[in-house]
Amino acid sequence: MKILTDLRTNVRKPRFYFLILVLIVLLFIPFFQTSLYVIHVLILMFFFISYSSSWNLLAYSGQVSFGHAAFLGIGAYATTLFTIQTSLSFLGILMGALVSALVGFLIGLTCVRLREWFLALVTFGFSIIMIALTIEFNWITGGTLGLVVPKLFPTISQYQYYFHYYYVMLALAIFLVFVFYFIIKSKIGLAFAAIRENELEAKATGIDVVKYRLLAFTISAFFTGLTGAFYAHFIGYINHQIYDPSNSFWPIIITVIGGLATIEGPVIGSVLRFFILEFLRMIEPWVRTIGPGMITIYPKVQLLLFGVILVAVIILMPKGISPWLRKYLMLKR
Amino acid sequence: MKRLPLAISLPTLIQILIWGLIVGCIYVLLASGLNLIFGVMKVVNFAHGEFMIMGGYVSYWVSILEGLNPYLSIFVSMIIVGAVGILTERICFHQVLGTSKLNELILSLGLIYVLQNAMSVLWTDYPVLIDSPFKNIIVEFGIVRMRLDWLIVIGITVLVMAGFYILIRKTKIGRAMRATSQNRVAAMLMGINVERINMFSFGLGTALAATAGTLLAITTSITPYAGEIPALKAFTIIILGGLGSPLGAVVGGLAYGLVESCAVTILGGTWRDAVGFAILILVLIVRPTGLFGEKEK
Repeated sequence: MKILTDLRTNVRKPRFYFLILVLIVLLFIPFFQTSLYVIHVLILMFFFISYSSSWNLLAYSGQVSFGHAAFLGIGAYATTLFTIQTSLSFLGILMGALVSALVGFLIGLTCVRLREWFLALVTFGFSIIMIALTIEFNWITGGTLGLVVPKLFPTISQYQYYFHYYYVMLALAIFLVFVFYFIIKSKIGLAFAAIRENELEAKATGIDVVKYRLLAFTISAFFTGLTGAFYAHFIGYINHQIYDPSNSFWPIIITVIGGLATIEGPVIGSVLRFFILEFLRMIEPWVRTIGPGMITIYPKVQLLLFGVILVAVIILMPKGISPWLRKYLMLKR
Repeated sequence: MKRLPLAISLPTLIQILIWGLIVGCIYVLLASGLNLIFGVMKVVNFAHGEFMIMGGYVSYWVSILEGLNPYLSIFVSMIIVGAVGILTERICFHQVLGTSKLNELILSLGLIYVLQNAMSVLWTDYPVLIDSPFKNIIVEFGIVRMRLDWLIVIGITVLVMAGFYILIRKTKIGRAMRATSQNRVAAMLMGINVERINMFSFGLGTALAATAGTLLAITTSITPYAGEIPALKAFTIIILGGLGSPLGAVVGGLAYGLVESCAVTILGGTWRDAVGFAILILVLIVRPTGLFGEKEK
């Protein structure tokens, strides 16, 4: 019960009250902010927190996947197909996560023995293979036309659906951040960290490297599948584009900017992504006055900016923003 | 299920093989450049395909603005993209060299975003095809019919690879590059300026990619986003052909082009990108260090 005592000592810290304050604000946002757009963007932010946290769990054991969209998509497709057949949505979500974990286990069997960039290549390749499989088996998956996902709460209006889903995704994000916290504070997390820091030394200490890396792969795939299942219910429609490389790259960008292999990394990264995108949207009318060509160029400039930020973060502060934030906000232990 | 074309006539088969050869030539150039960079610097550069596309666009620009023959504009493109490559090496990869492989991977991911979107801003998203002056000429040898452009593409690849071989094998800087790739510290002790060798190899690798990009833009067409997957395929090729083995990159590139061309005909266009990765995964299941990979600690 070391985790519980750890939690209890944290309660007295100022950062704990800060966290509670943020949570209360988040809980009450839908009551004050009735703009559907803001709710939509916040739901996407929670989605990226959950998705990046699941990805970060794998990165915590030193394995960087370049194709996590594969697990996201498998979770989404599995839950959709199950829900269409049986109309049990909540069981379907669990099924999505389980199928994703199974596939993650099988791919993990290949990946755990590979070097970093072999692993990046294999996971990326797997997400590309999933695109081909999805289009090929179009009598199951709907091919390029995709599938319409049954709603999680079927009886309510679209407007209310967003507000309900806000709390669902918020709960998912909080749940996954806590899962990450509990895992890294446990013995398993210690083994993951040891493997990440030095594989050879970890092996010498008696850690079964292959077993723990496989475990990390399976857990990460499980939670990515879970996120994918909720995501599918939210957007209401899936096709092969869910396996798109950009979907695989976002959690990497978010987590690395926030802080690789830290609890707060995905959260900081997602919030920062949210603010950057909103800021760019705010100055868009001003940008359009520069010239008529700006309408097509502007979305590219946004992604260009994220690329530049990622490169700058890797070169200038390889640990991401989180250590810097800890120092200046006095939230360090 | 769609019907598989089981009976392929001989002319069709020859067309498939020729097309495989053309695609293979582009992969050979791309994989050789990557192999050189990986061999000398031990850097994994997933953004290599973006340099290829940049080469295509620069050639397009030069051939449109200056009215230069696109095949001659390859030289201009090689120089410009090589310079951009050296600049990238100085600004980005040099800073993270020797820290950790993950940093290099994520850095190259950031570069993919930067270069793709910069090219998209400069040249828009519409597919670009370089207009070759020989596009209507078709040559025939018996039952083999092909565009003159395709012959020139094969010829240029052979020439460039021959030049590359001579540079690596016969010149002083080539020997220095080989020495650096074998043992970095020993090369340093022998008085080789390793940093300059790094710059030169990165420039040369990206210049080879620029050639590949020009040939790609002449034979098919390019968009700013077309480089991402070919670069990862080129990595597949050098893993399958043996890391750091120049012959492996050539043979692997040609074989990969042929396999891809056959797979597209038999399985359909959706499998174009997937088939190579499927082979890669199957090979890595059996041999986690690659087909000819040496046992590493």
